[in-house]
Amino acid sequence: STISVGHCFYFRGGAELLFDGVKKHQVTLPCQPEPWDIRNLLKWIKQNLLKERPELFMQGESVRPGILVLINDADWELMGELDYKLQDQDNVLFISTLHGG
Amino acid sequence: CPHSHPQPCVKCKQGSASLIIRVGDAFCRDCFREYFVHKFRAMLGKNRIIFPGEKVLLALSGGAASSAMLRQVQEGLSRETAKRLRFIPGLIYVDEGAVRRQSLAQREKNLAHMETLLQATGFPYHLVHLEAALELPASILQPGMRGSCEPGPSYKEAVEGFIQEQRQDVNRDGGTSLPCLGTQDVPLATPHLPTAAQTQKLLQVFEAVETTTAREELLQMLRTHLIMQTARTRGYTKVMTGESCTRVAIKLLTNMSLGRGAFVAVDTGFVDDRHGDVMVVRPMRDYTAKEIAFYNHFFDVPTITVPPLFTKRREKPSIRHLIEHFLLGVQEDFPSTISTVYRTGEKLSPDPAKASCEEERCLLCLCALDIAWGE
Repeated sequence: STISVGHCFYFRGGAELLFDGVKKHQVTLPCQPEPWDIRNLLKWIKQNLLKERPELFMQGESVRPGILVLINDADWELMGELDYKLQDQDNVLFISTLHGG
Repeated sequence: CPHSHPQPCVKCKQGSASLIIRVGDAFCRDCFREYFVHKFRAMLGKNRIIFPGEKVLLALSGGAASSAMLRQVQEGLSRETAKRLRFIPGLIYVDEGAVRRQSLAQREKNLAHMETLLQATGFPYHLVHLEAALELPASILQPGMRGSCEPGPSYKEAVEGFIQEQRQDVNRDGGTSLPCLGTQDVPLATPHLPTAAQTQKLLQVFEAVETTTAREELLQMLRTHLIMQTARTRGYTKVMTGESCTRVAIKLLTNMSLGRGAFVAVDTGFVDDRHGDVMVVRPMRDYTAKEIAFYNHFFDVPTITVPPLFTKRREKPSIRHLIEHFLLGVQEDFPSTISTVYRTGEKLSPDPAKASCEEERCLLCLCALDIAWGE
């Protein structure tokens, strides 16, 4: 079983409005048999951090189109998107580009 | 397919890539910055529509795209002489807190934050409240007269003339002189928040509107009028707005759904000259929302977040909302969707929007009424 520690999850561009306005969340993910990939991370975020209107953040098992994901300041498209396996101390930033100016 | 080791940048082949833009180009941070900055300069350079020394009003919302636009203007003005941007910027921010359901305290906080950002630029700035739109003179509904009737200098002549003047100034002072910025306008003190009565009046107008779609149109229209009025009274001949490629594509399809297909070119094009004396320019229309978001993150461009326009309980989403959802969804699976929509828009002519006489012009949007006369 894996435990994944020392993560900071950031929400910006309006995404923070779905998380009580809190932009930074420091987290240690609990022990579980499944690996902590982004797919499972999103499930966890939906259950534990998302305060309202999940459909504004997620669509199916991924993030809603228009929400960018950066892992340690790099585009998740370079890292395998949902399949990327979280390493200890990895930071994940979610930026909403929806109804922006 | 998943990549487990870092990809090299497709441009310099050395740095490790930080993001993927367009359909699969992996760029490192430095090459991305160069690409981003170059695109802005090329956009203005290619179109040759902003003359040296011209006063340009930047419409800022605090959002990602207009903030990135401001940064590009700052960078462009401070560049070394040959490649420097040469116009005189001013800034405008419209406080829409009332219709975004912000409390007075939140509006004040927002304004203070925004004012700090604007002040830091050193450019003259204007903070206006949306409430003021209800007190604009009726003349706002008329296109203005263009400056003079004689043909002005060509772009090339204007730039050469400007450089000549600069050289003369240098010889006179015996030192380098920077382009004159903002000595004609002093920054305005923050206006007090509008009176409760003014806010009430504005809310009444918005609440009387029955659909979210119409409310969005109304907001857009009032905001444009306010910006135009400020531009006119302060001597700005250009307004820059921050619509991104993503925004433009959404607006294109939305406006077609609203029956404005004939005016897509002025509503989304680089140039919008329906107002006559003040031209609207959209220099960010070639940047995707993703490029802008990454740029702002990598290079610390400050932004503020405001809540969305209010909706009544159980109201359906607006047409714009649906189009956004649709387009972004298709884009996920077909990454050239947005650029294709955008490029199609580029091919359309602005002529249908031109009214041949006053009676044939819409009062609110200044485009030609597309009714057949005399039938």
